[in-house]
Amino acid sequence: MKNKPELLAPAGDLERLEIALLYGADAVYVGGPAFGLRANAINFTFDELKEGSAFAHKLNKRVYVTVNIVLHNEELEQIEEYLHKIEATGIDAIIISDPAIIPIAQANTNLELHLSTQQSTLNYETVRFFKEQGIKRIVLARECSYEDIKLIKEKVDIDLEVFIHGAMCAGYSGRCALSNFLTDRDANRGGCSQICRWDFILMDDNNRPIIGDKDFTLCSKDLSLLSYIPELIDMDISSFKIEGRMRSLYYIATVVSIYRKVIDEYFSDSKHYVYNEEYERILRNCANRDSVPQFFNNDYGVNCSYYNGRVEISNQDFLGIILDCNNGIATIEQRNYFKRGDIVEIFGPNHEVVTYKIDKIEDENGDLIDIVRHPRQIVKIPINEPLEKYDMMRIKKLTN
Amino acid sequence: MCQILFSPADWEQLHSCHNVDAYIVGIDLLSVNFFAMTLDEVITLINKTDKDIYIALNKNMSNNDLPLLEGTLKTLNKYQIKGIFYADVSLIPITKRLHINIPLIWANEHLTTNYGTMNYWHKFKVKGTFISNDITLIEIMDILKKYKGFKIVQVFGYLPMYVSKRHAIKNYLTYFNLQTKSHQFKLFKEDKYYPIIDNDIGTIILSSNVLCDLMGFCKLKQNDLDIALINGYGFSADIINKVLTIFNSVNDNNAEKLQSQLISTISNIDSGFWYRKTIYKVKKNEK
Repeated sequence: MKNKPELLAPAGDLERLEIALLYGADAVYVGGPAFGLRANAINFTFDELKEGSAFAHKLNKRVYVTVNIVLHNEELEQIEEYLHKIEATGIDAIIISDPAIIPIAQANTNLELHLSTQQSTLNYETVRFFKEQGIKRIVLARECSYEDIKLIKEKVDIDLEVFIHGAMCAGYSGRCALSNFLTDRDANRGGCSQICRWDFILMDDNNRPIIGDKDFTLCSKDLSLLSYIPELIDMDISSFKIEGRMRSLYYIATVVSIYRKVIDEYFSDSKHYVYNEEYERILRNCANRDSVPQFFNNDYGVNCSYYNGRVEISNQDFLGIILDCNNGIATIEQRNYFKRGDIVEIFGPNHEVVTYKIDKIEDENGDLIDIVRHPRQIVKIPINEPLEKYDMMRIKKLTN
Repeated sequence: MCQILFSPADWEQLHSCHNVDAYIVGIDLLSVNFFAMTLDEVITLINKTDKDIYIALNKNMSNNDLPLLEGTLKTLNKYQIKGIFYADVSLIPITKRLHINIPLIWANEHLTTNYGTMNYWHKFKVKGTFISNDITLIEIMDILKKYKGFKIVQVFGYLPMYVSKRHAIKNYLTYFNLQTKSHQFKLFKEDKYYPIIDNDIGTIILSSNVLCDLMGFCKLKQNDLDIALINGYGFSADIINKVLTIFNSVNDNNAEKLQSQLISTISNIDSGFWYRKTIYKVKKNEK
């Protein structure tokens, strides 16, 4: 049997870091105060990095910080001091994109270095080169196929990290400056304005529009390698990465818990492993775009295109988060409208899914109510199940 | 002395635009953003011309591309080639292992943004850099001072914005069952047209405007720019010949007048990012 892969989740803030780790991630990646590719996310302060890393280490888990922008001259001059401060927080590794950071980090810190997918690494020669420069792990380009990854792993003994789930760039990472040109926001320094999801009109050589039922877009569907987890484990891939530092708590909890189950199920008994379509249904319900294997199975043609422009399905499944459960009363913080009579599912990291019909709801004053309509409203529901803080309640879908 | 490196858009430009120091061309299946031809055609060009030749082998290389890349490098190594533009790091170990003596030029168009990374690659025998088109003139001039290798900057033409492995036009036509006999396409958005090309490599998109700022070019020359690249894409050979004449004769005294002449010929000229700084922190509550 191969080594058990790390399940690596995104975390946009401390709360999501805790959720990701509690729901089964072995490690999280987060943005620090600067130099990360999600400049419009909340990101972590140095103190929060320290706190998050202490939380993770108590659980024997790891925290990686993205330092993956493409540097300009002015940032180059600030990077050494920044790396010192990052190292002092106790995090486990940094994910870099710009090779200029390699000698600076090596000369001034003991930080473990991972190479970002922003380098678009697609072949074993490049992987071997960066290994020789002291890179501990390579995050492969999302354009890699199964055959590409397998050959790279066979040719070079190094930790490989592969994206298994989430949104995709339409272009090669690092080679898209649409955001720069159309909105003055630098994609390679964390300002990407996702022009690939805009609608355009395609024109021919006589400036006549070529118009389908929907406008032209570069947008692609999301990635899901749920059905290929056994192949990836058999290839001895070190880390399975979930995209989405700006995703919600519910999304993180759902996606992490599903992949946790699949990895554990296959790893514990690969001979009798059976693909569970229910997991696929749950992932589909919590996503806001269709997902496909993309380049992994070389089917990146028309089936990967997404012609809904910026229209995305707003997910209403997530009803609330459990804050507390004592003496058969669950305290819940509302996240979407629900009401008495709804049939719900409650899931968490430490128990099977509980299905329950809501018979009674009390507000914070103890008054009985029928509908929970206010954002983040705190309510109490009697439920005779051993629920825990951070369990999540979603609507039970009777059909797909 | 700043040399003029011309990137022709097609055979016609290659055959009729001679007021240059060097040409750069690509090779089928190994190049993006440059006019690509077969290896045999490249060899014929090398043998026929008295100009310097640069070759772009600058696509993102998968494992499957490596045998073709190695074979091409071995063949090119027998000829007088001034430099190879590359984007994929694999060219560094491969050229070392194969003892290829053609200088490498780092040309990953949006990553070549600081002198530190350029000097990092210089330690691995990368002799020059094609500097990014989305940084300011001040940043470029700082690089000219602090980078040890030779420096190339695009000074005229449409700018590369996007490279993808996906076939965006083919997918759109297929999905909506659309027919067209067109071989050239543009994307239209907010009164601007962006050239888009879907070929064997995937999809590339170019800027809506044409970079041309002769005053800025003069400053770069005064700050020891080694090579100025002129991209012929989207223009007739006649216009490119006028452009080449102007770039060969421009100086501080006539730059403004010549700039006006060019604007009267090419309406969508601008100065790219030379005086325009990109932003990347967009939230008010940033830490």
